[in-house]
Amino acid sequence: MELIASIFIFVVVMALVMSEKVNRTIAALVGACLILLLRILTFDEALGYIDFNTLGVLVGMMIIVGIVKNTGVFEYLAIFASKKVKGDPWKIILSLSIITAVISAFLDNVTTVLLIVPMTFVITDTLELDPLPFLIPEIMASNMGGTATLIGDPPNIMIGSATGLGFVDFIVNLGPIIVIIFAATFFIFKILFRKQLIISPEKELEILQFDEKKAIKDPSLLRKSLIVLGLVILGFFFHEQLNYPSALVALSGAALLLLLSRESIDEVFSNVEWPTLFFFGGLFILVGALETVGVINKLASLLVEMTGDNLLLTGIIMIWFSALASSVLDNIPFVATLIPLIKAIGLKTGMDITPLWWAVSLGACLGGNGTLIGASANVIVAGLAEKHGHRLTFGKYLKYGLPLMLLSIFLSTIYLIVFYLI
Amino acid sequence: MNNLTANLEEVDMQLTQMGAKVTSLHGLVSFIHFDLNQTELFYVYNINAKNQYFLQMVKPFSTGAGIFCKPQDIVQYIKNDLKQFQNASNSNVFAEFTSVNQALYSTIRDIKDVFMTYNVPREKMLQIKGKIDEVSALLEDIKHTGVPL
Repeated sequence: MELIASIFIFVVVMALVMSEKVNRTIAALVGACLILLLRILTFDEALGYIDFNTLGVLVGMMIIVGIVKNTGVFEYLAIFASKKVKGDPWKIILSLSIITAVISAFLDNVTTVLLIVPMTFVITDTLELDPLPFLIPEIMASNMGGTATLIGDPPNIMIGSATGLGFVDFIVNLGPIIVIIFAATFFIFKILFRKQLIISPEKELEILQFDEKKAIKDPSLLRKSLIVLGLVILGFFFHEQLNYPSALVALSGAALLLLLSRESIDEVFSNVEWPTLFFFGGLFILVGALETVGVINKLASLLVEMTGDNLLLTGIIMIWFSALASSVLDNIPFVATLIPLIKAIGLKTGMDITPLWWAVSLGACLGGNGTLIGASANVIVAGLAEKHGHRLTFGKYLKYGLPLMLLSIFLSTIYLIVFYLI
Repeated sequence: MNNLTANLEEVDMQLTQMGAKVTSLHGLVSFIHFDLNQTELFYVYNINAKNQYFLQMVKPFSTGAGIFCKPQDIVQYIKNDLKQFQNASNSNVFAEFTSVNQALYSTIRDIKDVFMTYNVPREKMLQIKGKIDEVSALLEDIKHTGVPL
């Protein structure tokens, strides 16, 4: 009875989330409450399944970015980069995409695109160019950048939290392949978009009229923010050695910046995406219920039967399944379900499952580039573009996103095989 | 952060490059609607993190009512307005009153546009001021000779 109820509630919630007929936070909260009301989990058991480390990293970084953005530093970077390349459209695309990828490695992808896309519109309006050849690479750069670090994408935060893999582990193991994928992707973008980026030299010079110094609204706050950001990044690099959870690093940085900045707490907290945090909370309880009733264990047994204890086969299945699923489904519930599944596989087979974490991370994060609905950042950018009078349709994005995503997964598969699976 | 903040950033960036100092705050917007006899009153007020209320009348004509610090001030202002409009809406020249006010605000905009676009001789500006003084004198005359509501 509990087994059927848990599966039914989980499937219904996921269907509502994927179809977007109900707000995902509401769906997850209702599902979680049903789990508790039906006593499938006790309240304490439910709390035990909530990954507060993941929530802590998210809250901490949301608070930090909410303060840092008030300095105007992101606007400064966009103008500085555009002027540095003397208004050359392709070089602006490359610069903004690199900035997007780097920011996305430390902040979540949605926040990154919300910061970069408005500036992209101002630049493309000045150059009188279609913004879509700028936006599509930025979308893909945000997903790639987020893949490279522990804190860049929620799936990685969840994997790191569940496994103890640290910030340096992610950079060392995923950084190299992400750099290769970025280079390959943008080599192809240059060929694809070259004809859409032709403008007169006079237009390029208009970019030089921008003054990046005007973008800095609060130099004092900027100095404090950069110091705190530096400390937070150092903290992430050394959090394993210091035996501090990543959430503590993020929250300590947030607390320090709140103290130094003297920004209104109400203003700062209005930047925290509470619906996202409650969505995570509800989701963890739903997956926890599946674990408790044994569904995850059964699925793990099934998978082990199919693949034996063949790490190579399991790894390839994981990365491709994760990528294809993630290109159409929200990767957060997907990864939340896979985490206990992979742990169960590890217990059943005794094999070193670390490569499977890299497979899931690469598949789930890069898979989001496959379609317009593959990641929240993609949908956000499409919405902003439409409001700006430029429709980024599902079909238009698919022409670029799907082949490039498949290329990135192919390269990742080779990388995993060569370095981890054999 | 959401789509609204992204739209705000785009506008802020352009205004900043024009030389503006832009301060953005989170706030709440309320729409207030009264249905009266011959007209409707429509106000908008915004309250922000600095506890300032920006009140604006939108209908029957558009006018900024001011910046207030206390919610009671907003309520009192609207109460006074409502009482006056309720009295006035019983008048048989209320429609003309509304169109006079709309014409007045349109004229204020036109004066600004003309002044900003053309080289206006001093005599012409003084002529315009003269016409406005005539209207003020007429209003004073109505106050002295008219019957209060």
